[in-house]
Amino acid sequence: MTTAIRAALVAVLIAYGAPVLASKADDTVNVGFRLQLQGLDTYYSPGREGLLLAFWVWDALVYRDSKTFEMKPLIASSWKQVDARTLDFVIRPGIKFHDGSTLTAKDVVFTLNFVSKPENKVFNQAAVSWIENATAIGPDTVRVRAKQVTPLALSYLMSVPIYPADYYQRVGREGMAAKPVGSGPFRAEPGPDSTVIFTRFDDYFAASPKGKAGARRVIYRTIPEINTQVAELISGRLDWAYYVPDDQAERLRRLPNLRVAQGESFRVAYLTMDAAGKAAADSPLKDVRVRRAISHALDRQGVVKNLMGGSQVIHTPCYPKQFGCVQEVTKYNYDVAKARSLMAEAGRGAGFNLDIYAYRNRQVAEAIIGNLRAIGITANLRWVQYPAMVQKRRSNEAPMVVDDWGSNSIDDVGAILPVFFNSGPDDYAMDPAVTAMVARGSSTTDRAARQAAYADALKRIADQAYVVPLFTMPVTYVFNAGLEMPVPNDEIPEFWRARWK
Amino acid sequence: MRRGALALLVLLTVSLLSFALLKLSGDLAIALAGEQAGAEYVAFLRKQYGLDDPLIVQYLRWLGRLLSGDLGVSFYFGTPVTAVLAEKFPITMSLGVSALLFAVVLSIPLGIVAALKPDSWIDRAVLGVALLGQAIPTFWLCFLMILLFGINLGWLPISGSTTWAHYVMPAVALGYYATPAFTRITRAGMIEALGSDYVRTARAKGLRRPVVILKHALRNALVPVVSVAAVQFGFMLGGSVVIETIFAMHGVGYLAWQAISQNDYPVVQAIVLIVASIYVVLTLAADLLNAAIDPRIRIR
Amino acid sequence: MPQLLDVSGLTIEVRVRGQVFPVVRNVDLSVAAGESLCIVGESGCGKSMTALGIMRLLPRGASRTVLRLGFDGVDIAHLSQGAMEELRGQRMSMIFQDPNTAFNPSYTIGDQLQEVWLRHKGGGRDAARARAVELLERVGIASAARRLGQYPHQLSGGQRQRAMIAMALMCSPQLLIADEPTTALDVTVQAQVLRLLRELQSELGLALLLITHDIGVVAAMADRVAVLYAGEVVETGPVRHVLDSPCHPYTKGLLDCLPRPGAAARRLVTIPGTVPVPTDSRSGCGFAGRCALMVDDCQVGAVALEAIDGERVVRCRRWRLMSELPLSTCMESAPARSSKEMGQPILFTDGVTRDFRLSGGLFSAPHFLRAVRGVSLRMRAGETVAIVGESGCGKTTLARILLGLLDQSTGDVRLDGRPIAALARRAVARFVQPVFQDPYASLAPHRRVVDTVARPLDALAVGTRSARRRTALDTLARVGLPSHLAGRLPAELSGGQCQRVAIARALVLKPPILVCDEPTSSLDVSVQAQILNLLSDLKDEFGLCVLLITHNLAVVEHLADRVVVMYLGRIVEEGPVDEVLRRPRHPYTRLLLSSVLRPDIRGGGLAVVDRDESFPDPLNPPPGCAFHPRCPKASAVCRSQDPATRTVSPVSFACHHPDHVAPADRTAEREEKRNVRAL
Repeated sequence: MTTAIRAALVAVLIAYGAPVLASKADDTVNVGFRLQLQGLDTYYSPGREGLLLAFWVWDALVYRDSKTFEMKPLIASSWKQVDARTLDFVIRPGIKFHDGSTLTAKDVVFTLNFVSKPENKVFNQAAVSWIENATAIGPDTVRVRAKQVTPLALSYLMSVPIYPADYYQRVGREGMAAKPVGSGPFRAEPGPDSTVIFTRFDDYFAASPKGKAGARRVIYRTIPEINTQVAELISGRLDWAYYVPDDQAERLRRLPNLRVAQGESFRVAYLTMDAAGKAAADSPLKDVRVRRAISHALDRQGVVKNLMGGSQVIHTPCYPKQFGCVQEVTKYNYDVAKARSLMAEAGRGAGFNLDIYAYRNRQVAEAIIGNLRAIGITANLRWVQYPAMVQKRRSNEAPMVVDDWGSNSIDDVGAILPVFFNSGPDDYAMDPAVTAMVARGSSTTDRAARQAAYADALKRIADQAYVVPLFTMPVTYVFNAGLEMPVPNDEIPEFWRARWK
Repeated sequence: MRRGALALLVLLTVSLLSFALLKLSGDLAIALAGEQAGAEYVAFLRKQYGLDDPLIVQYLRWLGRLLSGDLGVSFYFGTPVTAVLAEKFPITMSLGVSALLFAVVLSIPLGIVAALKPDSWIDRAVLGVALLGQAIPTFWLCFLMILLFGINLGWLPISGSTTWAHYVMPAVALGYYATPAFTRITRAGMIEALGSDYVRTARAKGLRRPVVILKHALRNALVPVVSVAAVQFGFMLGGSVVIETIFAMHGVGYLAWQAISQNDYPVVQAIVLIVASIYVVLTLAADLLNAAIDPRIRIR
Repeated sequence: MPQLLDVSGLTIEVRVRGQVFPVVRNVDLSVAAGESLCIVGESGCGKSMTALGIMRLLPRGASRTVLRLGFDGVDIAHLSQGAMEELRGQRMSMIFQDPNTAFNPSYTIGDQLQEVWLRHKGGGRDAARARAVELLERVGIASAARRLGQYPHQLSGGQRQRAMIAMALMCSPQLLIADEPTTALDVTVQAQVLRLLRELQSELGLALLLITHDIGVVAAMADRVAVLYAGEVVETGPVRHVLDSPCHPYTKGLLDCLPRPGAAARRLVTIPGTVPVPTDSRSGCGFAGRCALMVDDCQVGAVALEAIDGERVVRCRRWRLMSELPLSTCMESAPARSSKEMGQPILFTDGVTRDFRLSGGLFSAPHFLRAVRGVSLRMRAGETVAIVGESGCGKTTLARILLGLLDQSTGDVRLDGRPIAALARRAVARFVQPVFQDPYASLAPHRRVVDTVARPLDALAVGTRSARRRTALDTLARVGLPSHLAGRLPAELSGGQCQRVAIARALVLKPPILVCDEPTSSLDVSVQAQILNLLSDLKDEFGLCVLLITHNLAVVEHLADRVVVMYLGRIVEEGPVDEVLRRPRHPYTRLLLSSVLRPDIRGGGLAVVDRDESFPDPLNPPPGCAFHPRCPKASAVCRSQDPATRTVSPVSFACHHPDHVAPADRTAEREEKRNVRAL
């Protein structure tokens, strides 16, 4: 009997002994994410995590400083705007790929030409569809031509990692997905149990503004259920997690071994309205008074205070720190009486029904619906997945959407306004004036001109109350108190900066 | 032979239904194009993947590839579906088997104890314990266990599936649900067996009580349990999504959920097909098991 | 003589829904070493419970109290559970009624035999195996070593019962209790098993306590007999004394109820009234309400056992008056059965064969089972034909074909000249009606009996609803069911009463033909007598043609005009009852007759030896004459040629070597053989 018990105890100890070791003592950081990275080819990896892969394993031509948002040279040592649509980049010599080969202009040309072709179906189309072509105009100079004037070219290029041409042509997408080769601070390989193991690349070039990785290893663990991530954080088996819900974060704040911090992000939430009458020709939302009434009816401050810890109310559909974003526009304070009188004035005192779509935060949607009911609007909640909402919007069936937009972490209003105010399928304002102003801002590289154009557009949008800007959406990060790592303010965790104290 | 043809028909119907449902439930092109893509790119993708073709054409295309052994390539993972499944299947299988084992190991002694004293307080207590298995919400039970065994006591690992210890809590959560069925069947079978003539003969032979209960009565009482186990195993394989999500065990259940929400239809089709096949095989296996266990069927 | 088993004051009570009822009251028994005691009684008298009580194997809800339970000099009444388990199987063994369910279907015969040895004697498997083989051979199972590895379902009923006897004897017990060991077996097999038990008893000095309801078994097996009635012993004594000159009115009644060979055409005596149930309260003698000798005093105060001489006891105050009982009160004489005119043939079958296709399981090809072969039968209005045969002979299949429930594979079946296949089901139902063996199983448990009887009328929509109910009530009265029982459910009626209801239902449409499949086999002897009388009266009154299927030759003699003997699907002999039963032509008929136990003969008349105990497999019948492996007269021609049916008036038979056939007719047989050989 006793031998059996003894054997069982030993087995138990062996069984869970293993994961406890992999942490500080081992110079390893365990990070938790909800989405699995099955294939490690960043151009074909889904979701935000697939995009983040690009920064960990590869380098792009340029790097945006996470504190100052200044563009810094990375693979390119310098660049020059040749004309409105052309940029020349000088490629830094001596950068090594993980497999020992050297990065040259050839790799840059190959990568840019490859990703810009629609047939290659890379996932992050916005970052590459502007490129017309790339050519080598010298042994280490690459000329990149845009299809039209693209003021955000550098911002886009920041998310376009450079692939090794020979390797990629040899092994293809499948090969890269299984065994990625890049020039970034980490090597990557698939690990057991659906993990990805990032190991420090010791030959990472010293002049890089990113810097060599601080920890030997970072293990990416896929834990789909956020409560399980929290449990693992508490038990010490996980060292870092993000998008932790506020109620959990509050509790975790009290634990001594964990640190809770909030990071900013470019993501903003807003309520779109069918000003153009796309969903219904006689839509009440066509009347600006109704839209203004709705703007007054929403208790945005209340929502922020009670449901969204740490965020702030915005008055324009952009992140205040984004280039071109202004907040000095017509502001609509929370005034239910005023809202009601506006509704009456518009002849809609009796109220009306409509559908409202939402996909991200249900409590916020329900708060909004409650606010609307107070002025007589009965909104039927349609809770759908994101792609389904997009489909509805583009088929003119979405009169009202609680939407948000991350701007692909680009700190420029040009990453949000042209998407929704372009008189296209995603535009429910369909105001030629606004469209023209936005187009003006996107068709020149002159910063002052752009700023003026976007300011005009934002003023008019606020005046006409085409959308109701809601609030910013900061992200809550929870990590091991013994881990030293800066909190991202652009939703891009820079794990190479993580080190154990 | 007829059985085989019927099974094939079932599989075809199931695959066609799931194909249609998936197509109708969301637009793959938009999901694939990603948040940032414009409408023209979405249209381009549609053409590329043949998503504009009529449903039946797309289905037949898939079927044709299937018959040549190609399950397709996952739109999201970029890897062949067979590779993805081969990686995840053993996990779900192990989970199912351990859950079944737990259910059986818990239920059979409970059923025996209840049958020895039917309608007594022991009997009711046993049935109560068993019923809890169906009444308790799985989600709640999982986190209760995580809290107790994973965090407070630190005995068991919480997420992942690398060692056998990782399977303990998931197996308990998944298997507990099947406990009432097994317990009741064991109890009923035992009561019948204990009242049977052959048990009376065994007692008349002077065999000791444990021998009578375990060798003679239990052997016959277990026959229906085997059939039930085959069916319950099928449920466990299918119903493991929640468990796999909570415990971050990357098995077929979670893969199915992921693939459905991403409209990754090659993966979804493959999973539906495989799960349906497993059900068919399990039904056949239950028949074979019955023959194996009951000598009256086995030997003419 | 020292008693091996000495029971005094055994009382067993059952708990039903919170209340306790006695089913065995204060029973005293004793069995000496080497002696056999039979406990005889009808259903519900408590005989099985007595046996289970002695072994302490009572089911849930039953409890016993006993003054003394002496076994081999030691009082075992209050032994511990463990000590009792030691005793069971080793020094006292028990065998049960139904060999099909008494074995565990999941283990081999060998396993179940050997485990008794291993449990009590411990030690090596080899010793256990050797003992098992030895005993299996002793009980007459061929190729015993091979049988060890077989499962119970692979043996026949008779073989299973023999195996059970072997299992009980593994550890050489001193006492063997047998609870109705042959009731579930065929007549010939019963004879063999009883003979075996007798041999073993004398060989091993075994004491035998045999429970039965069959007086024939008592005559064959007992040294002493105890008669049980309503939970009490009413009479005990040496078997010949009790059977020849019973001292208790109940015993006498039991003996008189039996249909006796040679006493045909006489009404059977019945015992009026019914057996009291344990739930009734009782004062005085339990038999008082039914007794011809009863006086008021009998119902006052419990009646004690009284010793008659050194060996006999009886529970009756007026037993001395038994011998003065005039014969007339014991035997009701009835008008002898008039030989009546037989009407036109209304049922006609010619060469009927029925095959069943059995799937062979997952991997083997299907087999064919020929249940009925070449049956040609003719029945006339008003005639009673008995079909006699053992299990597997095809009589039930034939009955179902004649009822229109089953199609024949080949052959002609005509009802009143019209082929049965051409008739609608309703028309067939109006023509032929059944009465089945188990009265409870053939009545819908949730329907009141008057509705059950009216069902056929309802189905054929005869007249108005109230008219149909009235007809039903009339028919019930005609079959002798008291009118106040018409609104009851079957569960509230006794077996005999239910069978009356079944008969009423069959007759309500006034069909010309009645098919009775073992109508009294499930009933007690006294009830059987009542039902047989009823059938006899009804068939005379309604002019019924009755097809009676039974294994009980005494019943055949009592009711039937003609008898048909079937073996393995075909008719082997057919003719008037007197002829066939007195001078059987076919050896099988002779075997059947000799297997019948006769209560009036010591040893029951077990005489003729059956050459081969194995009943042939219907799936694989022996070549030539199907009976030849068991026939003492089998010759080469029997093994190769299936005999054709011949008629030597008034009997027809299918045999190469018939008895009681004149040499002249045998010449015809020789001629036939020659002709056949020439072909």
